[in-house]
Parts: sequence; structure tokens; C-alpha cells
Amino acid sequence: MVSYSTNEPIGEAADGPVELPLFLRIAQALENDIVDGTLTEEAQAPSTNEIAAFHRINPATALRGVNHLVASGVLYKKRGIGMFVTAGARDRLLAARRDDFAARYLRPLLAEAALLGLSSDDITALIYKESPDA
Amino acid sequence: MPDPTPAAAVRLRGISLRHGRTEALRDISLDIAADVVTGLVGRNGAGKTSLLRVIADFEPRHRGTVEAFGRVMLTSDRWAAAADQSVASMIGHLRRTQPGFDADRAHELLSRFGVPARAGVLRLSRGQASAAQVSLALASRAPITLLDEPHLGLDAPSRDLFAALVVEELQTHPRTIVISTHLIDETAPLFERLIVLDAGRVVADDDVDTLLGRWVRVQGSEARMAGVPLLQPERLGGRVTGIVERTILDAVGADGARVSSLSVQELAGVLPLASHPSPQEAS
Repeated sequence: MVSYSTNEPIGEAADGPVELPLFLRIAQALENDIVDGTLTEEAQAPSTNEIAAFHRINPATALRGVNHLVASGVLYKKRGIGMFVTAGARDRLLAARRDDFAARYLRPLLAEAALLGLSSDDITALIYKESPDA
Repeated sequence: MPDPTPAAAVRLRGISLRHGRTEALRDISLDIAADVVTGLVGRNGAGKTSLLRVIADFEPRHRGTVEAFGRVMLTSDRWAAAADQSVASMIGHLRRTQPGFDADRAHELLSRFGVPARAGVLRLSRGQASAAQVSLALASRAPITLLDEPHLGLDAPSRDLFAALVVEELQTHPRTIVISTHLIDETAPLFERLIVLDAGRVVADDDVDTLLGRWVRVQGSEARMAGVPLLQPERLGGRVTGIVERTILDAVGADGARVSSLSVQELAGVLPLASHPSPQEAS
């Protein structure tokens, strides 16, 4: 079973947890592995059969997830061998996540802070307090 | 993206079936997509087993036409024909009568489920009987494999094994598989398409992701949700939640309402309501 929580920005009408289709959650799980270094650049990605067996999902869905990453240039295919992580993919994924950081994390934080009556100064103080290098 | 009109493995046109005074199936016309896994869901008595039995040619008195483009294997909980046999002797029978049936695979699957092949079919527990049926159906390698409630009585490890085995089969022997079940969310990761039956009629037949993208759960205060036509509205305190088509929600624009995805099980529950003319309105 796949149970990734997704933090993707969602449609205009939405501001709640709208889950991505399963094939996109598979793609996102692989992106997470690349971002956190579990899957290094030029390393071979798991095959669709391995992904399908691991998550107990339809192999066609695993293939759609992998193909999504090929289309976005995160993975590339070596004919007859398998899928590999594109050089530079990690930096591009990190850049995309930095772009999304405000929408994914700051806006929910500010909404909760407003509910609690926390000012921007309160939040800033909390950030300094919680930072490991404070 | 998946083809919106995939090739058919089974073509049904104008299928009706009566069991005595009960109309089990009412004028069903649909194609079962070839080489994909389709989930077949609906309430008890919706017609799932009847539909599968029609496809497998076990219901000669139906009306309408059935075309199956390949050999069909159906599991069901009706082992009547197998009374007094051992599972092993059923395997022998299937090996002789079903071209492509893989007897070694059947024994392998039985042993992975922990079902003794020597056991008499009628002496198996409910879960063991389900495991045996699944083992024989998957080992049949039938191009059209119909699994009618494979989860009945299966314990959690066996259900996990079932999902793993379906994935194995799809990798080694890709084919058309239809799975009817009430354990919808647990089985949904195997489905590409979904057919929802209600009172003998088809109320949905589409790509799972397409259906999931069309419907949302929405939640907000009574005042905010006043203009939103909700299916299955529920109230708690001043809060209302319910299900609505995304296009309708966008049109009425409930600002500040919280929107979330449906599970496949919620989807299966709401689609019969959506196909009826007068949805209940909130407030």
C-alpha cells in the first residue's frame, strides 16, 4: 500500500489535502529519494516491476509514474538496461521545491498563526528558538 | 495517458438477467478493457456476481449478447460441482480441460497460501477456499480472469499475498483481470479501471484516476456551504461536509471551503447517488 502524504500545491478552489493520482505519488516518492540522496545521480532507478511488487500496485501504474519522470527529465532510459537518474536532476528538484516552499509550508503556517493570534515577530522568534544552529 | 477507448476483452450488449422475480441485471451494455485490471464494485445484490457469471457463460438464460475475446476463468464461492473432490484433483481436472492451465503454478500458489492440496474442497475454511480459488484462477493463465470476491474470509497476510500474486501475474502473464470486492481501498492500487454497479445497472465505467479527479469532498460552515448541492451531506456542530463534482463546486464557488480527495471506496459509495436525478441538497 502506498501512503505518502503529499504536499503538492493544489488547485485554486482547493486548500485542503487533495491527493495526487497514484502514479504521481509513485513519481513523487522517487523524487524524494533523489532529493534526500537515497538515489544518486547516474544511479539506476528501481524498475517498474520492482516498484509494482514493493507497493503492490498495478505495474501499468508504476510505469506511468516512471514515464512521468522521464518526460520531466528526472530519469532517462538506457535501452535494454533500465532507467537512470539524470545528471543535475537533484539540483533541479531542489530548485522546484524552493519555489514551492512558501505555498507548501509558509502559507499553512501563517494561516495557523493567524488563528492563534501569533504575530510575524512571534513567528520569527519561534523560528530562531527552534533552529538547530540557534 | 491511458487510452480513453481501450480495446475490449469482453463486449456486453443489452444484458438483462432475472433470478425469479428479481431483476439481477438491467440492460447492461459495456466493454471490459483488454489487458487491464478492472475493479467491479457495488452494494450487496448490485449484480456483480451475476455479471461475472454471464461473462463466464454460467447464466444461459440472460438476454442480450456477450462476446468474450479469449478463454474465461471465473472463481466464485460456488464449489458445488467440486463436491467431494480434493483441491489436487480439481487441479488435475483443470489441467486436462483448460488449455494453458499451469498445474505447477497452482500447487506453488496453494503452498504459499498454506492451503493443503490434499484437503477436500468442502472441508476448507472460508478463507482457505478463497485462497484455493484465487490460486486456481491465477494459475489458469486465462486471458480473461474473473475473481469474484477473492477476499472473502482471507486473513491480512493472505490478502497482502493476494495483491502480490496479482502483481506477479501481471508481470509474467499480462492479461485482462476483473476483481469484484468490498475491500475497495485495499484493492484499489491494483485497479486501472472501475465499474460500479447499482441495482443491476452500471452507474460508472471509467478510468479510476478520471473518476477520482471528477469528485471531491468539501467541508465548511453551514453558511458557506449553503449554495453547494452536496451528496451524502453530514453535519457536526455548525460544520457541513459532503461530496460534490469539482465542476459544480467551481461554478458555485464556496470560498474558504476545505476540499479534499475521495478514496475509491467513497467514490464507489457516491456514484450510485450521483446517477439518480434528485441529489439531496445541503441546508
